[in-house]
Amino acid sequence: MKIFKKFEENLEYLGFELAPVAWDLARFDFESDDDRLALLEELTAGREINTDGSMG
Amino acid sequence: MSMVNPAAVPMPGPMSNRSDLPPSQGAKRLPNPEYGEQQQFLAEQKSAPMAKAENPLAGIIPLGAETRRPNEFVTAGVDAGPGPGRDVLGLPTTADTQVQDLTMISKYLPLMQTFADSPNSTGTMKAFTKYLKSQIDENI
Repeated sequence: MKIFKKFEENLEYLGFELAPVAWDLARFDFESDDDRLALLEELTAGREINTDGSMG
Repeated sequence: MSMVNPAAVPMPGPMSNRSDLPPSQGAKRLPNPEYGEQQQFLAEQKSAPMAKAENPLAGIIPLGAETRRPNEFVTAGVDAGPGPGRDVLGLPTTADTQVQDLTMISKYLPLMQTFADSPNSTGTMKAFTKYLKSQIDENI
């Protein structure tokens, strides 16, 4: 279930439309979880996710 | 370090030797043959001639050449300008890719629902499973 936890976190950053990317990042073997979160921060810098999961 | 086969440098004028042609496949000679061995080696090579090497530059259209498709717009295959659009290329569309992605992710839907119902979920997964189901109903 750990992968689903990561996937859920990734979705919260990326939005539902980018679910395939969120899934790939959940499966990717990052050196540490901080690296994954840093990448998500970088990918979503300046963007906001709407309540329906889409990117604003 | 010595170079075994240095690249051929063309000589000027009548000594010029084009280096843009494929290497010839002439008969090879043994470097240190025994008596009569060289002659036999050459005779064997002549009895079964090698295929000519293909010119790697053959068939390349020069940049300044006239078009070979004078009736085709330069924008053919692009969703801009005259001529047919991207659809003539038969490439997968964004919608095709989306359906492919959804199909891949939907395999995990039962497990996602289990996770969504667990206390580990923040609630986003529940919303996503609903979204995924609606997308599957629409597209697949």
